[in-house]
Amino acid sequence: MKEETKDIVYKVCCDVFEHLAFMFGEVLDEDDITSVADTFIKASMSFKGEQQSGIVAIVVPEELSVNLAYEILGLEKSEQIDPDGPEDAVKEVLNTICGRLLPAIFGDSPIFDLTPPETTVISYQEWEELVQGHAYISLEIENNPVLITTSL
Amino acid sequence: MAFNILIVDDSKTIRSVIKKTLEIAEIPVGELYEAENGQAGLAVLQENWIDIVFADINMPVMTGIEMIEKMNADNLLEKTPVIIVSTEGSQTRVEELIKKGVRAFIRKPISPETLRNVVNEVMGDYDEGGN
Repeated sequence: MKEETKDIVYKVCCDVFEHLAFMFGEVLDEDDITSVADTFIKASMSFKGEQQSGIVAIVVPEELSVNLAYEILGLEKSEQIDPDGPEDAVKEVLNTICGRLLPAIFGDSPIFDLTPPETTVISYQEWEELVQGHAYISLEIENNPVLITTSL
Repeated sequence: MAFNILIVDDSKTIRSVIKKTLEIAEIPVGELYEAENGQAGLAVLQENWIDIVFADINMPVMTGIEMIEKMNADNLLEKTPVIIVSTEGSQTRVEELIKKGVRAFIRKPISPETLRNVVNEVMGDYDEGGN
């Protein structure tokens, strides 16, 4: 990912977490990416325009996905959430990031067709491989690492 | 006057967020219906009187745009106000949607103030239209 694209991705992601879930993000250096989580939710979606196409993906520790669902829905921790709530919340975060990232990079004239976000649950080992693959940048959200990548 | 509202979005979480935002915005709701894609939304519209439709664009099975095109081709549904609630960032696409008859566009994340203003604006126009 180009440096200037990284800056835009960081800014868009921080804005989305803040406005969607009242969570505040900080850039996390690659050397500082660690997690004690066992499982993670990976969400990805693709976009296709006349000139550009690609993917955007995000990986969130499962515990943070639960907190995201509570915050997005405005629920108290004593309330029950739907079993699909955490994955739905990560999909919505990704959808919003993608919706804001494309005009931030390409301007608001081009039209992009987006695929609905899809999620998979990945293990710590798979997560570590993603980190070591250096394709992702990372934010720290509520003491959790959030990985983000785009093929731009 | 309470409005019968249909929310069309493939995300159950977002449908819940819109419901909650309607409550916070103190918009009077009569019956509230939900559908997970445009096709399911059309089925609700064909069976029930709906005052306002909130729809996403990007959904599996049938997108919000395809649903609006089907509504436009139906004499009974063409005047039902549709408000798009989406992350869409292309002004070109928003203009296209307005040309297709979409009454308003709300970019996510959605706030109660924006929702209230848009509903007031759209339903004011709607009443004046005599529907």
